[in-house]
Amino acid sequence: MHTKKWMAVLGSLALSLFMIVTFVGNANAATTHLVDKNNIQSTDFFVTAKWVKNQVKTDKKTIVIEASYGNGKDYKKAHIPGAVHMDTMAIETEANNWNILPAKTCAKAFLKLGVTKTTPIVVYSSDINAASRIAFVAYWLGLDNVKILDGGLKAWQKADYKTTKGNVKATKATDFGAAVPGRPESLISTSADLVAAKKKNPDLVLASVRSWKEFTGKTSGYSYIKDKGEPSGAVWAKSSKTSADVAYLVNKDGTVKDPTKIYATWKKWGITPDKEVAFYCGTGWRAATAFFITKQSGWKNVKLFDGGWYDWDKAHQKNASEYPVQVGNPHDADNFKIKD
Amino acid sequence: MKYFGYILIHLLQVISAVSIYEWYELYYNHLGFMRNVSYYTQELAANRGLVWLIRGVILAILVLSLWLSNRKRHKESGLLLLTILGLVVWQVAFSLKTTPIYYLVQGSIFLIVVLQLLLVSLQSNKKAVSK
Repeated sequence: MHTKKWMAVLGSLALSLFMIVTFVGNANAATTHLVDKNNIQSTDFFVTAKWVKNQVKTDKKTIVIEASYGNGKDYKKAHIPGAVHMDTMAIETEANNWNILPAKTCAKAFLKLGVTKTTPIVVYSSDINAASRIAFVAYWLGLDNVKILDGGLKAWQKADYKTTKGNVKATKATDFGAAVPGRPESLISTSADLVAAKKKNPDLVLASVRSWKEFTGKTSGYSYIKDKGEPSGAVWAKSSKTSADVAYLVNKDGTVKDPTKIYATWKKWGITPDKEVAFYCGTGWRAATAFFITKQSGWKNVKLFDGGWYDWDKAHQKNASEYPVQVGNPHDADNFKIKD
Repeated sequence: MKYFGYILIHLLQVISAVSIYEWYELYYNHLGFMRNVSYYTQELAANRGLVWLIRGVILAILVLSLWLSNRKRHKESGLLLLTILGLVVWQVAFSLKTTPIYYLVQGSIFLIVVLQLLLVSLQSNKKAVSK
């Protein structure tokens, strides 16, 4: 009798152990990385915590920027030693349709942090899209060396590097060192600019990184955007599950996934590295992440359509024929329509 | 039971007062909240009819409050006058231009006034019944 009991207990334990091992194994299998931690290239944008640690140590000019909206509440609780906080409102405003502000205004925001064209910067955030947003502006302005810490502060802490509390006062710089923007070709700012870019290159691929529900017009994704749909001609670059994430592009720990599989899904929509591709989302945050991931993968001609659905919808309200909207799945003619 | 009611109303007033701090906290630290508030504030400001209706309701409540507090002078009516003063000072000293969460703060202060008005009217009724 006792033997049977013990057999049952041991059997249950073995089964539990098997399930745990299987689960952990699957979880690990799903984690892939864009960043090759043993071989980070100078042209890479996403870098590891170890790389950042070494960079700050070897190049004292390096400025680490914590990017987030607001007055840096979380930044003050814990940040990478020496890092300065940058409020995303320094580079965008509602009055400007949440688009990136003029280059000179943005350059001033970076000068306030002591950043000039030649300053190496590393941007990090708890939200990869915020980090990418700020990094994109730096890249567009023409900074020589822009990096994003893959995995943000969590990756830094996971590496067991120390953090500090409080605020770091930046030493301002006065001269940016070059005309801005230094890389104007990377940005399509407004809907009018997009129409002009399309006229210049009719093959330009307009890739929406919004969720499927947003893309097919089931939701606008934002309570402050009334209308649902996409700019006419848009294709779907699977990236987001909701309007606030890029879940298909990142691992659970916030690091960027190896995008090979996702690129295969994009290919079905005609989004390929050989084409001129303009990524967009609602207001340009998620698209900035897709921009840097593709850049790091070697895509040569990618752009950010910053205006996104927010700007296009506003333009559509004023002039529907110039800014037509599509609703539904373009691959399903019965459930697809163009509003113009 | 009556004390429970008074305590509950005052508690709600405290929560309303604390909510003012929370509005600031949320607005200046949460992107989604800030964008939503900006959007709905503009929507509200653009709806002139609704703005005038709100102003009318506030004015009516203020007049009623002043009348009640003047009719029955006691601790709670004194507090009512103080809350009215707070609302008036807020209306005069701040605007949508200086305070992006103007309507939210106004709403919280207004709720405090209304709750106080409720207290005063309850107390007035009670005294009337006891007479």
